[in-house]
Amino acid sequence: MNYGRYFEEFHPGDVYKHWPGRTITEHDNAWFALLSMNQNPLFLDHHHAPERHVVDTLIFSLTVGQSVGDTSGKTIANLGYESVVFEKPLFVGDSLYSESEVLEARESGSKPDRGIVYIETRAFNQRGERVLVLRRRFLAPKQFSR
Amino acid sequence: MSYGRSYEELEPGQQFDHWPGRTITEFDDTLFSLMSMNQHPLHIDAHYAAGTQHGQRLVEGPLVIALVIGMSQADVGGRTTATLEYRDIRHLKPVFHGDTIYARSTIIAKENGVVTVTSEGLNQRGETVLSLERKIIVP
Repeated sequence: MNYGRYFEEFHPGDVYKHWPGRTITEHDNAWFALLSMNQNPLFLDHHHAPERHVVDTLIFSLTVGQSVGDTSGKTIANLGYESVVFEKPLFVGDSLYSESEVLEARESGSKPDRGIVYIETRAFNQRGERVLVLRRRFLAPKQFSR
Repeated sequence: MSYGRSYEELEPGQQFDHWPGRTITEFDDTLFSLMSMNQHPLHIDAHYAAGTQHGQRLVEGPLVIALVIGMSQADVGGRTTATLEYRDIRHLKPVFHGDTIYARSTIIAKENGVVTVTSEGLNQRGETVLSLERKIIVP
């Protein structure tokens, strides 16, 4: 069984290609928008906005979700996101794939059982065009400390 | 009836207390986590979570973020044609199943059709659980 990584397993420069990807359906987009109280017609009204944009918060959530199994799946706490940049729009019917690169892994200054991992996660559509880049930090537990 | 504001209607310094709030249920957290392919056991495994720092499941971070942004749309970004970026997203306190989230926003800047807005998420005790900044294109 393996979900996420221990602190010792993160090495700056390592890249994880996340798998599987996911196709975003009409249903996903409408539900995600409405359940998160986002009623911008860009996501809900095809007469008003025939392009059928995927909600930005869904692209973001899915990118994070895809990355967890290879990165923060054992995390003690997710500290936040430094930046989330949307480089291209994604449309209903597109698929999202992602990868993460370890930028830094350092020991916690106060607690010896954990470290702080800094990663960049990049998301792509089915044509390999980059749609989003984010950078975040999380606390990873050490394997041999308890 | 209107939803969101036009570029002309948004000015730096404006503050909005968004309404209504929303209680995050166990169903929400399980649904959002799994729909977004996040299978971290802290969100979906109550027995595992009982043995962790808070002794219970935590609401997935992106759900809190999506909800705070969603709540801000009626006052701010409801006419947005594109989101350019989020910056400095901070999870300041944990959110648990049953907590109710409210949101408020402040317009920070506007330039060449791009509006910068900061938003905060607060729980039912008025504690700030989330803060973030975002840049949106507003016609």
